[in-house]
Amino acid sequence: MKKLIKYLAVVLTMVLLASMLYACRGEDEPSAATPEPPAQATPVPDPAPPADPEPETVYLHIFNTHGPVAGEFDQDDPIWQNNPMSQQIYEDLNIRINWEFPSGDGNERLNLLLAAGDYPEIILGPNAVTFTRIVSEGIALPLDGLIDSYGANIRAAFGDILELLRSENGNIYSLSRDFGVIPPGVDPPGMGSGLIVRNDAWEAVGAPALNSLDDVYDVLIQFAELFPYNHEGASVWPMGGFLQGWQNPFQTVLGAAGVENDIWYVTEDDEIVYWVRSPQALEIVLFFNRLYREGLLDPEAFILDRGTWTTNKVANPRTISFFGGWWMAWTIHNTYIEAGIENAENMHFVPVPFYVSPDQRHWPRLVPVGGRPGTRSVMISETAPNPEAAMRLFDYLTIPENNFAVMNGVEGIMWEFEGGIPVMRPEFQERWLAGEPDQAFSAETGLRLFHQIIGTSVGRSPWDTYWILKDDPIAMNDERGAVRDANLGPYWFDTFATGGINAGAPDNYSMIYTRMGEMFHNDLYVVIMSASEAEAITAFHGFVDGLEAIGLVEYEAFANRVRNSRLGR
Amino acid sequence: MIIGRGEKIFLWVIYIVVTIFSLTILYPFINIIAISLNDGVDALRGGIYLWPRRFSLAAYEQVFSRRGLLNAAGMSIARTMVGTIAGLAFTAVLAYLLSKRDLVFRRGIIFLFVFTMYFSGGMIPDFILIRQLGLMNSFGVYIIPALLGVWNVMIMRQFFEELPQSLKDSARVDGANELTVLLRIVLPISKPVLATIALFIAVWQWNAWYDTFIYTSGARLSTLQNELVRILTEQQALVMAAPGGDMRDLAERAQRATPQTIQMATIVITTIPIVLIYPFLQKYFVKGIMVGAVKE
Repeated sequence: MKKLIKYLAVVLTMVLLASMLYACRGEDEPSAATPEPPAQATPVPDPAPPADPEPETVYLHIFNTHGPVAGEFDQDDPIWQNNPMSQQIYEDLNIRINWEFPSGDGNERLNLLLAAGDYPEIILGPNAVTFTRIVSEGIALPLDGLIDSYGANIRAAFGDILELLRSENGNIYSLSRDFGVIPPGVDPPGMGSGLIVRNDAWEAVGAPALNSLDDVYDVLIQFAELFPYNHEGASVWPMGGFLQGWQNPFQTVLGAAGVENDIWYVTEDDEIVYWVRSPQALEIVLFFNRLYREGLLDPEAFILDRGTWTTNKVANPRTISFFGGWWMAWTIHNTYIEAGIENAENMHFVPVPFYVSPDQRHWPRLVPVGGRPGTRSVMISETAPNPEAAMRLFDYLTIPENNFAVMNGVEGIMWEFEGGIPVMRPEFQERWLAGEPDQAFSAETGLRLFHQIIGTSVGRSPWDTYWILKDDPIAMNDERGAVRDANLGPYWFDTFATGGINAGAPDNYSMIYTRMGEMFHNDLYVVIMSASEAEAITAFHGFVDGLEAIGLVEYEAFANRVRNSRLGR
Repeated sequence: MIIGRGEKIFLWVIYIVVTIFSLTILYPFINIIAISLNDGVDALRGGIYLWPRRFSLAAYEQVFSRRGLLNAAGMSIARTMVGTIAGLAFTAVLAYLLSKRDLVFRRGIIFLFVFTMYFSGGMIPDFILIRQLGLMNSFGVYIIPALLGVWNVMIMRQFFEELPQSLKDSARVDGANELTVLLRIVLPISKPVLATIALFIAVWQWNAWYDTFIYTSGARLSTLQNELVRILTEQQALVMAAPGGDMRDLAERAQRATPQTIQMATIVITTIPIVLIYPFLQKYFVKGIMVGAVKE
């Protein structure tokens, strides 16, 4: 009897635990199959009753590896259903979107979902490794048929870029958030980067024309003479910079010199080689070495990360010029003003005209953008219940008017057409100038809530404005921005004609590529800091030998195969 | 008691060694606090040791200005409290059960529990299990998988086994059932081990972030630790990210605080609540941690 009671106690405990487990079970994850009805917009009237028979609203589940816009709006925030852009999409397509924003690293979470066989309907922004996995494991739905059926606007907008998105097996598995071409007549030197100079210094040397690296050297000599110390008596570097991270000064110079994508150089035979084999490579290395040896270059320029450099060397101010993006120090002079530095108002940084092109080749003028599978990709999984609806949504967003609405909110709130041109309303212009962030406008206008799906800001809109109106110097009466654009070209977004070569690469090539990157960021500064020009030449050759030892030649062959495949050769 | 000269010297040496040892433990915390309270740009110059050079609360302002942080803090407190109480209750019941030598299949049951200390299914099976249990995006995912820690159960079981058997027997003679023995006799005299295990669970719950990251989406169930991890990640991303509209104010942001100062402020914010609990549990903790250390 006593034993029976013990057994019963064990059984009862198990039942108790099981019932508690059941009681604590949570909601299922967002799913297209069982969507919650969305909250209706308060300011916007309910959509008109659809024609008979009433079409069923389609709910698309989008997993966004990047998380919400600037971390501001949670996936459950009513703004996602209530904003005017959502309402417009619903009225035009009868589609609602259920977002899923992972709590942490989206790619790690996505990989868990994939491993568990639970594929999100639409996947935004997987990294290159995850992208490769999604394609190679057959998780992604080939989009060719859907584009043929529902993607007329996609074909019109993307054009030849679609071919760049084609994988080696001939299928298209992803679209790119960005699309467009750099129009003729614009020479963007290295993705909106260039030689950025403090305005007071630039005026002091008479704003000379810079047509070669020697011209830059001469200007730096003058900077050194005119601005040896900052307001606190600390030494000032005529040229500063950083190397750890993206878009460093070295890549900027390479870009300005015509090395496509900063690291790949297209030869006369239309093959790509790593930048070290470009005709300009040694000249640029020796240029920096000369600056270093003569004390014109901050010796930490190739060691610091960008954040540290900005705070430690630019905000002080201890840097007169640098190669980099115009936006890197665009507002830094405000700190000079706050610190009460004399003439601070005139110490803002400006991009100055600078092109280096020994073989007279500038940055390619017609550069397709968005041919990069990976972080800006949008994919549909093969288990998606509504792939046609997903493609209809993508197609809808590529229509110029809709893309403009994605970037600026729906027409009639923040902007409206006047004489066929989009014009921003004065009250909104004032708010932008006052520094309000994008998120402050999203609820009332719907701007930039959907641009992570499909939404390009590359090139000019059909109305000859920026796609993002508040960034348009003309629309915003921004004189300084206009000067910047005149000097630099207004198209600062990445132009990866040969970009993403490594996306989808087999592991052995990826390892070589990773090692090449490590050498670029860790070993190149040793070459630049050589004690003499002869030593620098020797060290550079050693650097190239090191690259070859880890498989540079094999990787170049692979890169050319990928490029040729994308170009349909 | 008269202490000899040699013994005095020995004591002094002990004091000095212990003091130095304590300082080596204390110094990193003081240094972290000092950096967190320093101006971000200035901190990059280095040379901050015991107190801030340029006092600034910018790092704390940036951390606390984050939207949803209050909700996350509430979620952290809730999971710590509920998780600790529930975990303690389940651990105590199981430990008491396993401490009974006449339990049917006792050795087998203990083996099954101990086995899980050394072998687990791995992350993906865990993920599938949690999903199939319907615990995704639920508060239960913080509580149920953490109800029982085998290590904690074994510590408590050891403590219960060492309690005088006569105490339990006398209660039974007076008509007490097992529940009464546990609640009225065993638990009241087991405060040291209960406090120790409670502290273990509470610290684990407070520090946990990976389950939030893996098993939840959105901000509703986000915890303080998860938010702080995201803050750090975003700070790093600001340094490394590609250009665009969001990057233009990098310099301005960097003036107020840097990843370094934010990291230090984060450590302080997450550590202080647990540090504040220690003094209240210390007297139990020392006893509890010695459980099973001495055999008589």
